[in-house]
Amino acid sequence: MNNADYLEQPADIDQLDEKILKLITRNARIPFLEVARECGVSGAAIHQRVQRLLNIGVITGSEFIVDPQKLGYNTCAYMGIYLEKAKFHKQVVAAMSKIPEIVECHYTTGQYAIFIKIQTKTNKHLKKLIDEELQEIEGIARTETYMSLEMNFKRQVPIK
Amino acid sequence: MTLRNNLDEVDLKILDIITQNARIPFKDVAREVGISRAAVHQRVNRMIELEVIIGSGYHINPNKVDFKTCSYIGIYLEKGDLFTEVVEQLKRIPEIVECHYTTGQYAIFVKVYAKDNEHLKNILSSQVQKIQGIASTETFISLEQTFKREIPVNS
Repeated sequence: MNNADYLEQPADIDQLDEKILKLITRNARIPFLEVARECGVSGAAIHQRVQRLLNIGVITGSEFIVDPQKLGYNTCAYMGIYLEKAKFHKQVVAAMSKIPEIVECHYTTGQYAIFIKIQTKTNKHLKKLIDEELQEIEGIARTETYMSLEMNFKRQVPIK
Repeated sequence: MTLRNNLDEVDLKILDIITQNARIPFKDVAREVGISRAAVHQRVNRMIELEVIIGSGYHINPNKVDFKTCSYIGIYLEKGDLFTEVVEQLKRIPEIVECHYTTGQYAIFVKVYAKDNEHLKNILSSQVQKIQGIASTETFISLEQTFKREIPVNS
């Protein structure tokens, strides 16, 4: 970590911000006028608030959420990674960020050094990825894979 | 490019754009893809009907709304057939943001955002471990989320 974000304080947001967040995190294309009506302020105020939330990094973007299976991504797996030496962490993460099927990457406590989430089209595709790409990365000692047979739910963090 | 669920190249191009920015005006999408604005609307609506698109939202940075502790918890059940009830109970805990049925040593695997370690401890001891059917849990705390992104749509 090269910045001091371990000292990071929670952003300064008020109840109106929270109300706005609640509405727009559920539906990104909701007209701001509708948000304004619900919150009892003007449309311009909503624009201003959302822009501010973007500027201070509370919201980092917006997306349409797709069902990975409908796009042919049928295999979801979590993988715990053991490193040969802890100091390989940086280079291993750099190499992994080049593999687009790895959608999440964490530095964790517990038995694994790194913990990742992978989404592939088939089990074979996953195997190929592990064989040809992951195990090739210098510094990885071994991996442990947990396949997700079903994602029961997925949602955003609760806003009070 | 294979056709998945009768999606063609144009659909995938549209998805690629709108999964990165949900508020982009459809007329900009239309220009980029080379079809009319009405056609973009039609295609997006069709993908919603097909449930290829299951929603939209803004990304929140959990740190900034004061959720500082991110962790994964592996759950062991007393009996495999308690699965459905346990998931129902887990769903009532809003701090659990993701829940999977997994192979490997754990029956269930969840992702939890807590305000701090103490909050995580409370969630674990007074909520998760109180659920009937859960034998034990194993927690991995994420010290840093190095990256997080969407699946590659256009490949």
